[in-house]
Amino acid sequence: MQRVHYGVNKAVFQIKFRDEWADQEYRHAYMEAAVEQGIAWQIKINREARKISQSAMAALLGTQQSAVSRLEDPEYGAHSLDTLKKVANIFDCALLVRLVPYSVLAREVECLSREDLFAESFGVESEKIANENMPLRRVSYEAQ
Amino acid sequence: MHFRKWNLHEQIARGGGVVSAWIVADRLTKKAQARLDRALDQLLQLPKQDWHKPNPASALGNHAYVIRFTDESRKQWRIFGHFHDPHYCFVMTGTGFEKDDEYEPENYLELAKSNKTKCDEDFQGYTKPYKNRCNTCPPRTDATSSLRRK
Repeated sequence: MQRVHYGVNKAVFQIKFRDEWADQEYRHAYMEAAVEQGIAWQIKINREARKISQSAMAALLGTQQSAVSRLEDPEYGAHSLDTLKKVANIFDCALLVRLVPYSVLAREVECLSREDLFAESFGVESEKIANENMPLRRVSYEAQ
Repeated sequence: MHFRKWNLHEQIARGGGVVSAWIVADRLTKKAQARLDRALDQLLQLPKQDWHKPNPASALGNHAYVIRFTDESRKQWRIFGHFHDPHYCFVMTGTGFEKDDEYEPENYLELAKSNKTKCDEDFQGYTKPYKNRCNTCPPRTDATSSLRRK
């Protein structure tokens, strides 16, 4: 049986599960809103952090600036997987689309700051990992 | 460093919260409520300077802010309010909607201003936490909690 990981704030979980999400219709609507609004904000934050204008992003996507504006509109709610994959490739970050239990959504809801929504590019991450890497040491039994 | 979440309060009117009562009175659908709550969950984790489009809020001037969300029929609902820094809190003080780039009620700015004055004078007396989204006030467990959806 999977364990529930409460993350930083157990009280938030209890409030969500006991009160807000107990209603199935509301719960489903919240999940849909989280998908629709969340991805819109994330696209905007990541585009701005990379200093890419909407027009430049549109050129990279092969579309119009108004289409990028729509992608960043939390009310839009019609992002296609195909477009999201292209966006992820432009940002050189990964895209995860997976089914999760509501406890995972509850944790996500607690992590919506700019920092949380920013996805570093592979290049930047690689550099960090390379710099943090200690040279691999051979395990020596001789010294023991 | 991570941003500290804002607390969220609503103004008290006739014993209840203005937003909680409005949700019931205007029969806001669960979908619309969920959209509002998700928008609030996002806004509470953003600094004031990020409360602007395309995020679901904007500064109106005179310390007033508006929060935007829609329902399934695309009706553009609006919630007015202000920040109350001593409680690290956003206070929702009024509700309305937008049509043809006009807000209803028309005097939304005057109302927001006078509500802010009242709340500043007696924050604890005029406001209460909205749906337990306040880390400073004790959580509500009473049956009148707006979290209960019949």
